[in-house]
Amino acid sequence: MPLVETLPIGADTAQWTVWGTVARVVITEPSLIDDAAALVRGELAAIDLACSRFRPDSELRQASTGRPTEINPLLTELVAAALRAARDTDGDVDPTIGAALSGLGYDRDFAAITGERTAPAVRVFAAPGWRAIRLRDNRLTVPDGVQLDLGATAKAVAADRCAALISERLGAGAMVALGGDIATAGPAPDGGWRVLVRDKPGDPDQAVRLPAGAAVATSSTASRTWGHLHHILDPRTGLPAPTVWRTVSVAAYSCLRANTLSTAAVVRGHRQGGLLRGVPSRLVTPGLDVVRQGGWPA
Amino acid sequence: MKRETGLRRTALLTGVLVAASAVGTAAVAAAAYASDNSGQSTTVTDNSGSSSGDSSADNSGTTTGDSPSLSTDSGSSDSGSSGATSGGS
Repeated sequence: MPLVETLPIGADTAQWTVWGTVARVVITEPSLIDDAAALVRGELAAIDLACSRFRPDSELRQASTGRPTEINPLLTELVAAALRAARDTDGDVDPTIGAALSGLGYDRDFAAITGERTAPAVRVFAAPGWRAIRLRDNRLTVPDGVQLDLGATAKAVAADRCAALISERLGAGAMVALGGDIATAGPAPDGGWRVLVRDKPGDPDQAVRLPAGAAVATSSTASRTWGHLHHILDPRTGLPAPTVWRTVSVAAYSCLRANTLSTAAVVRGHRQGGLLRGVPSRLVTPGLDVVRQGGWPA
Repeated sequence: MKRETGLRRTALLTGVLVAASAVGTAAVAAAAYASDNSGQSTTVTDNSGSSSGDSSADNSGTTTGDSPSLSTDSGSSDSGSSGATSGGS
């Protein structure tokens, strides 16, 4: 089940479904909300065309030829972000898990497999490893047989880009939420941006305020599931990461950074200690106990 | 005489074999080093303008050691902002 957004839709808010989850835009100038939503819709469409692994016409699919291929600046930024996340986490967040996800049945837009109670025939592939990918300036080489999945980082980059775009074009403060990934840009409302941190209805929740420019990302082993599988894979095994944490939320000054850390923490499980040291983070155990660290408010 | 010549030839052959082995080992080591280096040659472009080798920089151009300070929401609606939910996607 994707994110369930239960907060009211005020005059400052636009909300719709995209990529099997909820997109939500909140702005400090309510009169500009339609313009802001239009900007976000356009940006998300461009990102989808650039890097969807489900669309045969996406630039990423077209560029996965086994040979160096020139790609556009947007896809360059998205691939670079994915490789940076892989490097910063020693490969715990790895974009080469595409074939592994497909082998587990996540081979189309998530909206199409939502609610499936039984996973299809499972084929397990360990990820080839992010070092197999070459990105030199705007020339991308994806080796034959390697399928990139930028989902872990592209949604976060999308949130960052959309919030910045609204702020730059419209001159207003903006918060853009794409499922669990939230980015802000420009001035914040008095008291900060309001964020409800909660995985699923009935889970422990907490309302916090983010300062201007802050971001928060939540990674979950309980959402975006099909059959008995969830979507956060350990690249070394090609299987869903063991459920040491049900949910990990991280705050940072970019959604990409927050998402990278929250995803890596789920993959690392008990080994996440050093990764999140000093980083505002909130971890929920399978038994729904909540651990706060790095200055996350009580 | 024949015995001395035989010993010299044996010593010479042994020396040649040892040298060839050393050259082979060096070649394998060089190849392994080159292969290892090629795995680290990925160029990561960072549009924030930070250098690609700077792992402490993120897409916003803000250093990752610089974490935001969150506060608890008191529940009042004085800001008038609707807010959003961060949960599993």
